[in-house]
Amino acid sequence: MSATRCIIVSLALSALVFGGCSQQQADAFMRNLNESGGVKQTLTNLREPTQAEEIEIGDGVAETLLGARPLLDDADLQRYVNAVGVWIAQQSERPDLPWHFGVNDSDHINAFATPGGYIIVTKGMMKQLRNEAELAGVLGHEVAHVTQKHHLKALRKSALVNLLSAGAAAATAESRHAELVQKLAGPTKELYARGLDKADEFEADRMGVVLTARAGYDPYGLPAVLTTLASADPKDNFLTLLTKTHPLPQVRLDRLAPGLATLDGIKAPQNAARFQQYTKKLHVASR
Amino acid sequence: MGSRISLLFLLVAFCMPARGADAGFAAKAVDLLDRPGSQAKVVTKLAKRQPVQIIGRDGSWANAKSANATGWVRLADLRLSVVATKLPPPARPSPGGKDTGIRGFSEDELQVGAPNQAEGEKLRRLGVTARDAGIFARAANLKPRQQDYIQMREYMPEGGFPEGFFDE
Repeated sequence: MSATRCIIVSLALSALVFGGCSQQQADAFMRNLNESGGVKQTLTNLREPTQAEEIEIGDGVAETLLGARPLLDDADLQRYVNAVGVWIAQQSERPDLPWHFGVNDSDHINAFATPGGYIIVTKGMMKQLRNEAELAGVLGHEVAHVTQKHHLKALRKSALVNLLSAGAAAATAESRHAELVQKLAGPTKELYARGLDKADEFEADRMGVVLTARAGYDPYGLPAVLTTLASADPKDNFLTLLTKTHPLPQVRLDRLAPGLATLDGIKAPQNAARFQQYTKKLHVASR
Repeated sequence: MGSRISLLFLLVAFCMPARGADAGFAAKAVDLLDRPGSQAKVVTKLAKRQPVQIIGRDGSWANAKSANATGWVRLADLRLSVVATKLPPPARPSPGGKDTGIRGFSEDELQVGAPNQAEGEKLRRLGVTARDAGIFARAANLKPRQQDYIQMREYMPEGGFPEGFFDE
């Protein structure tokens, strides 16, 4: 391909990828394009990953995040959160993903999802919840990020996923996985530090309340959690990360409030007793 | 911003377990209805900033009592007069270091953390089958329901979207 044709195709591709995006993002894309070997490689990146590839990417992202903070050592709580989470995920459009839910040992207040169906809630978040409907609301929000492939798209949009061909020459599945995880570590940290687009967060809120309702819970669980977060000082060290990477809770609530009218009339349980039974140890341990 | 915060506290009040009536007021001139829903009859009209006691919730509707009538009004059309108590922060202090923005971790933890395959395998072993999750749900009397996702067109509040609503 001549240099001129290459430039034309590159510009066309950048227009396709970044229609509606900022000049800064487009510039970053072009820089990445030049650094990553040009059009042919970029076309590889633009291909929709298969579900198997998405899960494999999710394995790597989850391992990177768990490298920052490991899982909490409480098998009963982990099983409980998995049972609630898998039930929520069954109400989504992707029930057959290998869903895995975990609580990590962090006092920061947050929850996050990876491509392929991994969802991690922090211990700090669990301690702020009051019932199972609130947990369901948090998990519903994260499940929506997975079903809508928000993180996967963000990785690809940034042209950071030069991953689908990772480890192609590796001798074993283990070495291939190790290479993939290594390649993912930087983009993972960059993405989870930057956060998703605000529109993705608003969409996950709208879907999260509906998944909560579909699962038979009081759909006001997620709004209740947002009000809890909004009541805390946003400058609190445990919340600064959340507020940096998300729209403010009060803005999310303002967006969500009119839509909640579509859930009028639902009378459903919050399951406070079962939630408190499984989270009792968290509060005892912090005294 | 003040009205936003008031709305938050209103939602807090309704998401919390039942308690005594809260003092609030109408955020704008609005009809007080005889029951929740758009088919209800108008009991009276509330003037902008007219005080009410908020005595209950049904979905996104508030049961409100004014000086001379009781009825229903949308939560979004009310504000709380009082500021809710701030919730306590987590018990332990931060392990130190400045925050980076990675959600749930400090910068120190992020920078020194290498991918942890063993923890990943542990997380994968934690999976619960869909069948077992269903049994666990039914044990708590959870009944799945059909519910469509909220579409943006259903979002249209009376009087239109506030300024800046679509600024993303």
